[in-house]
Amino acid sequence: MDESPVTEAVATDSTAGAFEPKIVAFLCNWCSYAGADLAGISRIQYPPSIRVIRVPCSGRVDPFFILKALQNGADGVLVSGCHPGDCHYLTGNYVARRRFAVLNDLLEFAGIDPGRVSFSWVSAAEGERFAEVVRDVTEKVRQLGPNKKLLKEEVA
Amino acid sequence: MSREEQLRKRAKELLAKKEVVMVICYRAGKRPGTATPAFVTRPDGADSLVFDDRCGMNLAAYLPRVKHLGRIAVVAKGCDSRSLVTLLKEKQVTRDQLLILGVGCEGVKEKGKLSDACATCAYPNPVICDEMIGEKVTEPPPAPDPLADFEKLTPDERWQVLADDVSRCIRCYACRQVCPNCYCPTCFVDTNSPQWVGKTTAESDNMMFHLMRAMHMAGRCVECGSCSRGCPMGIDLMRFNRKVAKIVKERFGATAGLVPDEPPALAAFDPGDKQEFIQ
Amino acid sequence: MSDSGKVGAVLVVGGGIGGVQTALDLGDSGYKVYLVERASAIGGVMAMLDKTFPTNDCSMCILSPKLVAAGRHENIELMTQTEVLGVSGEPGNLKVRLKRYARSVDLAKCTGCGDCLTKCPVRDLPNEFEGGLSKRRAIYRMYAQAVPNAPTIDRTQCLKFTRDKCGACQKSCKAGAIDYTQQDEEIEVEVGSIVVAAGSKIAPTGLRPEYGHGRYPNVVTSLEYERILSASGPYSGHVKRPSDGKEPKRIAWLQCVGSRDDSVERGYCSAMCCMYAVKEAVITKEHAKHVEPAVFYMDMRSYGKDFDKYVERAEQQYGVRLVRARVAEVREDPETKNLVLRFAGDGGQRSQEFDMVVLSCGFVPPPELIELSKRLDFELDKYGFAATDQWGPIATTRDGVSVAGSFAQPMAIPEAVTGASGAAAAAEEVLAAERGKLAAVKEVPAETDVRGEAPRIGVFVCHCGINIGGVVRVPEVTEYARSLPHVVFAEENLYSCSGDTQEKIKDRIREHRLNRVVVASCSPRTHEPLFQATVTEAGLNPHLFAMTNIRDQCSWVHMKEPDKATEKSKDLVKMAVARALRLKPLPKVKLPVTKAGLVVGGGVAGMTSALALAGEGFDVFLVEQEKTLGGNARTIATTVEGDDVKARLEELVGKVTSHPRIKVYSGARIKAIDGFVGNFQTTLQREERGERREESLKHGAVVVATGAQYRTPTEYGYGQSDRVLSQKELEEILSGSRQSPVAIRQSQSIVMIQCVGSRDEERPYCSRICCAEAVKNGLKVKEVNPDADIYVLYRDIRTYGLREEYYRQARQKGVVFIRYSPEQKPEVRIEDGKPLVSVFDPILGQPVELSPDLLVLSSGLVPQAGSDELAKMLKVPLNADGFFLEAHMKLRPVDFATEGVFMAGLCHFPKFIDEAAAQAKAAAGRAATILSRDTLEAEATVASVNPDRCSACHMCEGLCAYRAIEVKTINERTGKQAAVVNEALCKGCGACAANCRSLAIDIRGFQAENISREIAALLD
Repeated sequence: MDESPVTEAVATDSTAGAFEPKIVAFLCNWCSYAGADLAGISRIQYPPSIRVIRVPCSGRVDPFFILKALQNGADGVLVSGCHPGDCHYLTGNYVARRRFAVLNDLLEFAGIDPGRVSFSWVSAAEGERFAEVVRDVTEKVRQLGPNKKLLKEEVA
Repeated sequence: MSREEQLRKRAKELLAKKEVVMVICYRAGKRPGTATPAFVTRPDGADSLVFDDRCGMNLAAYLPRVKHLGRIAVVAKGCDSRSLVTLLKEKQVTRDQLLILGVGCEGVKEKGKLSDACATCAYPNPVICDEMIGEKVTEPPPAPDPLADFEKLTPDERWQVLADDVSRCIRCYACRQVCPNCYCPTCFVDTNSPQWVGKTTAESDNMMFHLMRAMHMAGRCVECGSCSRGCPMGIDLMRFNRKVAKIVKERFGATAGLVPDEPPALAAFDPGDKQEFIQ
Repeated sequence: MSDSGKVGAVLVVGGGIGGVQTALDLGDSGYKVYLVERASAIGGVMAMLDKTFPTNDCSMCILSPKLVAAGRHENIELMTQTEVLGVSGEPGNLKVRLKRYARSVDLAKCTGCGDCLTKCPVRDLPNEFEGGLSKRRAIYRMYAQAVPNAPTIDRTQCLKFTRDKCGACQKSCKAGAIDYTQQDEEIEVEVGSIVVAAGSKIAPTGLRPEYGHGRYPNVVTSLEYERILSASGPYSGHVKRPSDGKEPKRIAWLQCVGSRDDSVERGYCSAMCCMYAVKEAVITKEHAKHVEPAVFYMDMRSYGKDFDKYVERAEQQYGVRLVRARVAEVREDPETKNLVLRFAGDGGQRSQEFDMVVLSCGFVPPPELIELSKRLDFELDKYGFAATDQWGPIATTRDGVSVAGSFAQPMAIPEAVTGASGAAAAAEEVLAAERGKLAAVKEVPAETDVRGEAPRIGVFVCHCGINIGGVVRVPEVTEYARSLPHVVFAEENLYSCSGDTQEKIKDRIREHRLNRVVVASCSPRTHEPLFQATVTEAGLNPHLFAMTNIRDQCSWVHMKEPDKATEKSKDLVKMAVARALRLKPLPKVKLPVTKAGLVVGGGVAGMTSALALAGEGFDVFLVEQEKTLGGNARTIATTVEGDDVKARLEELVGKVTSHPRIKVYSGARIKAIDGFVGNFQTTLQREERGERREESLKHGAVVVATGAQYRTPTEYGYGQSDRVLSQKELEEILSGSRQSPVAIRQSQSIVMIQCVGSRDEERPYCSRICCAEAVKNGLKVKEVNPDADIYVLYRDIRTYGLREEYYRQARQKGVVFIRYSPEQKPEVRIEDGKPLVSVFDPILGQPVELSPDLLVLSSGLVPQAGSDELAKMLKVPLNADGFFLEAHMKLRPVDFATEGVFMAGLCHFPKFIDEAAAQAKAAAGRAATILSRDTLEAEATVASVNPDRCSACHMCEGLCAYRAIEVKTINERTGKQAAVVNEALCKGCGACAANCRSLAIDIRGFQAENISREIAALLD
């Protein structure tokens, strides 16, 4: 078989010069990570803003992970797990949802702009939805601009 | 016989009959107008016990450290009793290790005026006790939401107020010391690998500390105010605690420290929990 | 050979997904397997598919790990370019003669580098794998991920063989693997059993010359279209038409090409074309939004689990147009090369123009199998499929020879995989005593102790052909990886998953003394196990491996932004390296296995499973809640094929109750199931002599076969007149076990309504069996009373597969089929105790009034009561409709995600007896992969507790869905309490860890430390 030639990828990087946020995304292995895989398999295009950290379950996501990301300079954080009732570990996302609710409200209270930290449920079959969530989260963070609150300034 | 006299008499009795090995109560502090926790193990020690509006420290905080000695009698205001409930939920003490001497409380004075925490107290009487010393006090009418004004500020203003406040934190951990909920063998601020919270007093590290401390209070803090009163820098720590208590109440219908058999709010879930914040 | 005279080896003929699954199950259960494949690589038809329905999984992505696993399995010997010549001997001891054709490439020497592929001067041969849409050379590799990965030489075209010239490939081969002197050879192997999984082929388009395939370039077959859609196909996944390479706007799919067509002696339905056509239309829409797809069909046969929902989504969300019409002819406009379809539609003859036409070709048995069946001495049916039995759909007419996959009848992948595991079970039943005798002892090199060593990280960056390399600048990412701290080696690979790259990775680990390995390629969900196995073979603990996904998360989703995709890939590599830095070798936990199985449910599926398990040599506990065995089959007289169900059921019950290894507990209820794979403990409750007794059973695996229930209708006057019956009640009347309100002989007219309470909002699934039941009972009524008028009011007739035959018979005998739409359902009123039916007949174009003597409602199946309770006990999921949900719809159709638990029969989804029996055997085959072992290794990525930090607050206990963590006194002297993890129960979800205020709990493999470093690395 002839190995086909590399298709030319046209350099049309969009939004050149605009603020490109870095968003840390914690995705559960079974649903949202699989949803991201499906977005890939389906070639659904979305902004190159997220950096995925795979976790077994949204229940694994410690509030520390989220705050640490903001502290270290992430412009946004996305946490995504299975839809309620779909958790591979039965109830991990229910447990997580209470914790996320408290964190979400507490961060809002503390003046962290809404949209800086987002939560979503994306199933393994929702490739398009995953892309939509990333687009949406990216747009929100882009509107907010670079994260300054909680950012740990480099000690010279 | 005044309530204080009743208290001394009962403490003496319990120790004399060896029904308990220790009575935890208060005695007058070195500085005038203050009281300090008292750990009395001999009947004659009971004579110096006091109970009045100087007695703010949450006595439940000491139980995890002394419970191994035997059965302990604790003097408990509304807030102390609720902290005991939290400790019971978390199995830090068992009910039979405790003899709860309940006291009604009209509020703790701080520098001559009613402590902030007490101004909004909804549970001045013990929610759990073995015997009451003196009468219960009248339940106050519901207080207005102390966070209302703050929550009206813009996000940036809120951040600024909190940042200014926590920037004063010198990381002395007095708040942790006085809190009955803080009994971890190693506090998260002291762990490494990973070191989640930087040890500096930079705004970011201080905020991380106070936000995570608040997270750990969710569903557990009974808003006794010990941390705020204990803070040498006068940081309004109660603001965080009140917020998490409010969240837990509004979202999950739960109030900390009321029912020993119910799991803490964050150790439970309801499939129908509100999730409007999730996309 | 052993004392018994039997041989603990099995010959599997056919290297498609069916054969591969059989081989893997047998290999895992301790048998030597010879996997024989005529082509130069295994993979079969599934390797050619782009996506699979209904999950839209990438076919190659889910298949490839299985192919690689088969290729590297210590008990499986791959024999490609090999065919069977003949067999002699008795079941248990067979001698098979094979012919191995010369590949002209030495498999032992070839590295799969592909250098030879570009040097061959013969470059214009049609590439068969790509449906002729691209060219290949005389030396070629069947497809990029081929297993084995070595190329082969087409001796009919190679100049060396045709003209004794050239030799370019040999000159280019640095490994010296090209060997023109190789000869075809005959070999003989000894086996105990044979499984034929020879698959099927798509129907030749010559069957419908009027559709113009071969004459009109823009008419393609469905399989060719799969290649067009495939990212690794001839057009790199761009939807183009062959004539001019332009994107088509209007694409038509024509169904039933070479299927349901007596005129070409293909009377059967090919069972999967409706779904694959809708899938192709959906995927097309995902590739190119402006395309307008239309599917021309007769009946939409979306009868499988979640299929109807899929079709509905295709229509509603993707705008796929479904046109109920059979196309008479396709004509090409010679100028535009567009295609004009003529078909009968609403209002007579219509024609419509399309840019491209896809022929949904049916499936036919490979013609060469006629020869194979003679050589192996088993019978074929009239179409050339292997003749099998309804109750043992795996057995051929020759003892010791089983059949798996679509060589038995047309079937989709899950059924093929199910049959494959069932065939493995059948072989094991013959060879139970020989288990392990010929199995290789797995040689895993001793684990290198890396503790105390400074990290030495190796990074492998994958091109994935052009899938990654076409967008991401892989060399730049590799160079960047090399610059990261502790990275001592980095290189790029064309396909990191190929067999030769695996070898290369092992070499690099040894050469560079790597103690951590990072692969930047595709999804760890599909490929992590493969790489973990590879590093293990090089002496590293499998958890010293980190993977990052620069394909699904970079090249595929940022295709137009190569710079940013490259930058993002670098970030992801940096993060993976940071994670790798602190990876620790994780200990293996070994657990003993109780070699007994529990089967829940004593219907046909449960009993078949129990017998198979017992036959494989394991003790079985069969639990049935009713007092008698048999389940739903007790109410069935015959199958549509005419099998006497009653007699067969009696025979089955007899075998089960008399089997020395099977203990039947009837009238028993399961109270609790504790434990985990290999070590379950089940508490049973049952009444015995008026006393309630409890009993505890120990077993290593569970088969759930709890069945389903016939739904009692509530609509169309049921209950208001004794003349309104359910289909099940008619069946009982016909078998004589129920009195009819009007004797069948005297009935002048019978109306049946299909899809009663099925395929609606409340129950959006098809019950699969009702169409064939209606056909069967219609035929029976006709037998008794040929003059009766029978009307079947239907939405789609779904007599898929070989059952189509009976639909045809019913029409021939005069049964009238009237289609209704869900918007215009039939209306029934009861007058004077008699039903009156009115329905709109789309052919007459007007309503029809019927006053039948009997109205029969096909009201489908509903999930078994109590399924949710059992699901909770077993910690397994149900789907939205309430049926048990398998681990993967395509490739793990009888497994649950929870290890050691399997399913069979109607509890999974409505199905026929033969399908239930096949699934039951399959469950036994899968269970054997566990029960055959003496010990199992538990999950390594579980929670661990640092007791010094634990405050014993008990928070974690309440959060654990598996009850795997518990606060205990860990030091009696000091009374110190701390949480303790039961590693066998823990699934590693991390709910406890994330809620631990004291930071005492961590998750192995997902340590807080690693995640923290990953975050820090990204943002530093």
